[in-house]
Amino acid sequence: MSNEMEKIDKNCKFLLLPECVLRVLFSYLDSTTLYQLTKTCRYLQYFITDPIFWRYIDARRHPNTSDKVEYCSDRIHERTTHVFLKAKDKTSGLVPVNFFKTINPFRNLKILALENQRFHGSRLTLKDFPPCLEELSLKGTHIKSSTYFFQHSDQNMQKLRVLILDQCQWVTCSFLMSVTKYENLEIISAIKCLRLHLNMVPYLNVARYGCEKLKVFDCRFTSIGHELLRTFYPKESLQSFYFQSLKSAEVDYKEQMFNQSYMRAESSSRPREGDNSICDYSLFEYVNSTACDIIDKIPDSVLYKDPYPECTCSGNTDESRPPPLDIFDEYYVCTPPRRKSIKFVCQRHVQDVEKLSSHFREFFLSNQHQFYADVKASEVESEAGSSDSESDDNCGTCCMYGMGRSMILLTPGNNPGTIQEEVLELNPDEHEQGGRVVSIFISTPLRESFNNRVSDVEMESDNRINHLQEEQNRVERSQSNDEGSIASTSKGYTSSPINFATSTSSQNSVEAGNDNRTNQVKEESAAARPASTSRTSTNRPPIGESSRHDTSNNTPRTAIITIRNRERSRYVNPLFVQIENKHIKKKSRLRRLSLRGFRRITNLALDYVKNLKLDLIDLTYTSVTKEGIENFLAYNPNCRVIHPLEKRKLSGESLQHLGEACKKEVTRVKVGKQKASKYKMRKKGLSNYALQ
Amino acid sequence: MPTLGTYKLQVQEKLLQVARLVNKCFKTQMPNIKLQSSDGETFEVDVEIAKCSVTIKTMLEDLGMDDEEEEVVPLPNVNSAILRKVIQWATYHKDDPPPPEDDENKEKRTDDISSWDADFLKVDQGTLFELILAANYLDIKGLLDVTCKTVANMIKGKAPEEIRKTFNIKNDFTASEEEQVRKENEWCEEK
Repeated sequence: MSNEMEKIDKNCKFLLLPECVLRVLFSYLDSTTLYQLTKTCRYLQYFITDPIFWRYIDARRHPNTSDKVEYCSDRIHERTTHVFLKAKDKTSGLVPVNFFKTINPFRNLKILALENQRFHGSRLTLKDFPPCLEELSLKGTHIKSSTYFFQHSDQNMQKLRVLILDQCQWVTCSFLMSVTKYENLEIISAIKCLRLHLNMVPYLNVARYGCEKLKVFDCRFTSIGHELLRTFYPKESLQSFYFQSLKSAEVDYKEQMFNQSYMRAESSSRPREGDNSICDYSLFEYVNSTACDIIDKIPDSVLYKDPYPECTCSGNTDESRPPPLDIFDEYYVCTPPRRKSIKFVCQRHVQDVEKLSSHFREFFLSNQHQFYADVKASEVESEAGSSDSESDDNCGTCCMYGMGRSMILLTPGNNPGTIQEEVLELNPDEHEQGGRVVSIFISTPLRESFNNRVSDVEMESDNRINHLQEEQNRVERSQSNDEGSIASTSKGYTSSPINFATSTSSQNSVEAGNDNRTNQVKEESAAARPASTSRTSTNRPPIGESSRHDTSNNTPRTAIITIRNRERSRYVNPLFVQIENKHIKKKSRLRRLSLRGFRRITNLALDYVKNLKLDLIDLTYTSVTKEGIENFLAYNPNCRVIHPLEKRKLSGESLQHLGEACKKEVTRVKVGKQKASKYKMRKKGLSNYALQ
Repeated sequence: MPTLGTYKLQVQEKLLQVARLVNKCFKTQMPNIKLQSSDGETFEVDVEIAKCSVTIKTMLEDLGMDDEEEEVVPLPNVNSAILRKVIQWATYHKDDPPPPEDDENKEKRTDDISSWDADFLKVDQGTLFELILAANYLDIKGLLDVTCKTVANMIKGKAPEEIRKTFNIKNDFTASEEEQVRKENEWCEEK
């Protein structure tokens, strides 16, 4: 060392800097620059071999010569934690296969990025990667004959938290088979994996049972969004879903244009958008989810770049921002029975009411009044007189489900927020094998639905039905009217084993007595059975094409939702349906959702997710309207809505609106009611209705 | 041999000094101290500003400067031009929060130099290196960081030959080694 020091040119002030200063200085340099410095003179060549500079190896910067890669991988030592290597493009992958043999023993290596490399799947699989990795990026890396690349890698990758496979055209959904076995995986990023949609359905359906800690799934510019949303909705851990349509990439990245030429060249094999693009229906399952109280922070990562970092534009709105409002909490608490019961009448089992033991039937029929009365009582409490049309409404639900020989009757409890469970024994002889009562949800006729898209808290459950109905309407219409453009919507339906059929009846039935109602239910069901899916109600005024997304459909209607299979021959196990529906009280931790660029996302989708208390939703280039966003914000005042339509103004306005409401009312809960009733009033045109 | 008693006394004295110092800081409105550069010029600065230099801070604490004493702190390694700049920097940054602890395992950014600092460091290379040395000697972490970042930005993205030119580094590789380097550069330029 002293020898080297003596040789230093005394005129060179740079080399005369003390070693400790040079250490500080070089700590600011990435590995490429350090490599270049070693080529300048002997002293630096010697000095830079100090292992302290090679704990964090970021050699992604140009030039990426094989010599540099070799030099840097030679420098990897026991205490190296980060290694980033990147080739200039996919044709010049430089990392030799024996690189993995070199790095395998280093147990401190936590983060490895090998970008734009080329490997052959027969020589390298994930099993050869160091087992202590926490984050791995294979962005743009090509692996030839990759069939077995992920196979059996779960043992080796138990510590992996972040897996980035961006722009890997070789990745298909089958990778999930192994990846979902990684115990600690929190982030999967598969941006622009254009072959991800191949065979996605079976793999996604299996994958949803793995990856218990998965929090972020970034699938922008892939076409698995629709299926992913529908299969992964029961996953509680998921916090962020990011999607973006392929087409919107052209709008967003016109300037930066990442690999746009490649996209064009690949256009023939490009996944067709349409069939699998995200539409309102993709989010349907989230209707039944509510926000989870536990707030985890978004996992941090070195390699994964959060697409939505902290908003910096909030400077203007911060002052008028009211404190975080949990305005609808009371509602959540006080009417769980309604939240639990989607008003399904299981078509198969409507007759089963008759088949039940006489004891039960009597019980059921004789107690109906009581049920409804109970519901009504709690309803009146919760609504606190905020509506004037409640008195003649018979809105309520009783639901029953049974397993085996006993049947549990769910009734709303005397106290708001409680459910009574009554266990009824069924007569064994009447408990036929086909007639096992699995689920019966009797929905009462809905009250007049003046507007199903109103952010009307009390009517939420009714709204759901209307949504279902609307979905169905849309399907029906799409089937009958324009099979061309919306055919995919209906396709989405046919692919699902259950089908929502709706039937409507006039408002008169609302006034009908309870006994009549039961009859009516049966009638309705009986009528619904032979009807084809394209059946439309005679009572429902025809809805013009223009009003497809129109939210203010003032048709008075009674909706009974029946679950039945479309093909008679196929047996749909109602138990399965019921299990699905049992997730109604499911909590979802979903906080961030990006639906950028999907034109088929409308206000309806916002309605589906409004209970999730999202922190962030990206609605850029979607078909949502300002009104829809405002309604959404009424439910989620703290949600960051990203929308090109005056996004800041919109949220600011809405927040201000809420802020004013906050001042007027003493308690927060009342704010929610007032807000809700305001919306209701507006829709009803009852401007003279006095809140006080 | 000092007895335990004398030790105790010494400790007490020290504690008193510290207490006095603390008192001074809180009660009297920022007393000034005098710093003397290598070429004899003295600068009067706020104690608080001077204390951003860890060297001066420990010196003051060790010496236990009193109000009455008009002592001058000699800084033999810093000349007046550089010291003036350092004081200018420290005055501007006196209210900064203490810099975060270094994390070895994190990428260090060099593009987060504030515009004031960038303007402040628009000086010739000699001054820049002397500022680095002064910051190192005075142990002013913030200044050392920002100057090092500036130099790092000068090095980044440059080929070895350009680095040599920038810093006047003499090439002491043998011809054959040099040839190899040159070849490689050609190769990467082609790429």
